[in-house]
Amino acid sequence: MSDLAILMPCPSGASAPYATPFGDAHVQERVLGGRALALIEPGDDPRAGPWAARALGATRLAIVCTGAALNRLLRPLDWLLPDDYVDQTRGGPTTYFTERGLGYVQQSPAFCPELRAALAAMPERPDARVFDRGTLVAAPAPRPETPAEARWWRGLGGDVAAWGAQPAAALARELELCVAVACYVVRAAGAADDAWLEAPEVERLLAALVAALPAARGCACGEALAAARARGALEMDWWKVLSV
Amino acid sequence: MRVCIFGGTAAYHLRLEDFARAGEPFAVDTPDGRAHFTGLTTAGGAQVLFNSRHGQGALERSAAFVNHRANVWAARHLGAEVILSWNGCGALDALLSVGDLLVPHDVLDQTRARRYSYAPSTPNGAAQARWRRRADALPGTPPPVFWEPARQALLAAARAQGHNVHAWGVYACTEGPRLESRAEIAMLAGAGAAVVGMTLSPEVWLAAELGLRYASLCAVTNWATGLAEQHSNARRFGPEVGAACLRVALAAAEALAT
Repeated sequence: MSDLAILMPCPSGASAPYATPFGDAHVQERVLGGRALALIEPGDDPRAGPWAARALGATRLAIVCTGAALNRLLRPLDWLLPDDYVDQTRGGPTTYFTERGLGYVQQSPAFCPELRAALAAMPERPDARVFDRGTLVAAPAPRPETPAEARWWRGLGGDVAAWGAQPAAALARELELCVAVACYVVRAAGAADDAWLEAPEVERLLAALVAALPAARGCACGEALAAARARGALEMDWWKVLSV
Repeated sequence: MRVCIFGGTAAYHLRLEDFARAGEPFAVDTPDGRAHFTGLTTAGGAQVLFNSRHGQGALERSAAFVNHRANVWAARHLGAEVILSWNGCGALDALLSVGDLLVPHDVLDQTRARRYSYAPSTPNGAAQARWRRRADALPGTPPPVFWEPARQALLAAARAQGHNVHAWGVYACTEGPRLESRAEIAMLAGAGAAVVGMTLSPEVWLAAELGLRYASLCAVTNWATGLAEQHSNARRFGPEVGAACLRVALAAAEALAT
């Protein structure tokens, strides 16, 4: 059992397939700083990763992704911890609750303030700064953004265009997980990749996160569906019986 | 003109016999599933069809999962020529207030995972030609989005019933079922949206495709994400919202029927 899960593409080390109702995710369980940790590689279906986190006992999910800088203040190697987002993905599943009426999951704050604060504890380096706020534009994966899209998203106030953060984060909120995103800037919008997210940089992030995260949750993320539960629309272990 | 009312917010809480003479509820099976209706006879004698989009008794399905294909197909099958609907929505335009009504004149479709046409595949030349033939086969050409006489009927009825009602506004339709983020609301406001909801698309497109005329009544239930701080935290989702909208829609249906 790990109370903290990290959703990220290609973690270093060996992962084992983990079956979910939405296809396999890949999981690697570790202990870091005395804390059990599950590193989850998302499956093809965005619902698989957050579901695996919940099934492994996690209450918090940090999503590590890479992105292109829309804001010209950002440079490759910087981290951005967004406090808001615009979802421009399309066509895929956006919810665990198809064909039902559960009311609405609030998106303000968009991400867990406590988890964001713990991620922000990562020490900065001159060439790797940490920005503790900003707007993430979830780009339609996997192609790079067009120049027109980059221009438009910049106009919307977007700071980074990123892949993998949404709809995973919104799905995790439906599972009442705390969720926050750490976006690693790998290039300027429209440019070729200039940096790669390397294992030591991820280890640095994880070590700081584990050290700074309070043991108990002090946020409201665990109550995201409280209204639906109160009116009896949701059973206790509803997420266990989800199916495609 | 035969009118069908699609009830939105709080329609599932209403006792229809409190508003009109109500027949027995009945169901219509369509190629896309079952649709449920009740026949209503207004005080003025107009025959109106009624469908509660989100179910009966409780919110059975959120806006993202309303079976618009079955509902619109069945309305056409039952002889409806006009659809009047109501929708709860969040306010973006600073001049609105919670509790206001708005009759939108345009739609900004930002949904992402819905089926927008009765045509079998994504838009292509053949599907468009079929679409046009079907539309032209019906008397009159369907309007781009909303039919002006029905919009005017809703406006006149809402004014007569003492509502603060707005005659124009762009309705932005999001995918849901989650609410929007603050940045998404800022984007929609910048694009010109006055209100945001999750219901009108693809209902308006499907109705036009089957040659049905359409107008909608938006009830402002709350401020959109991030705007409550500068305006108000007021929220109006209760049965009184559905009751007010149904009264307006019935009066408009009566005016269109005569």
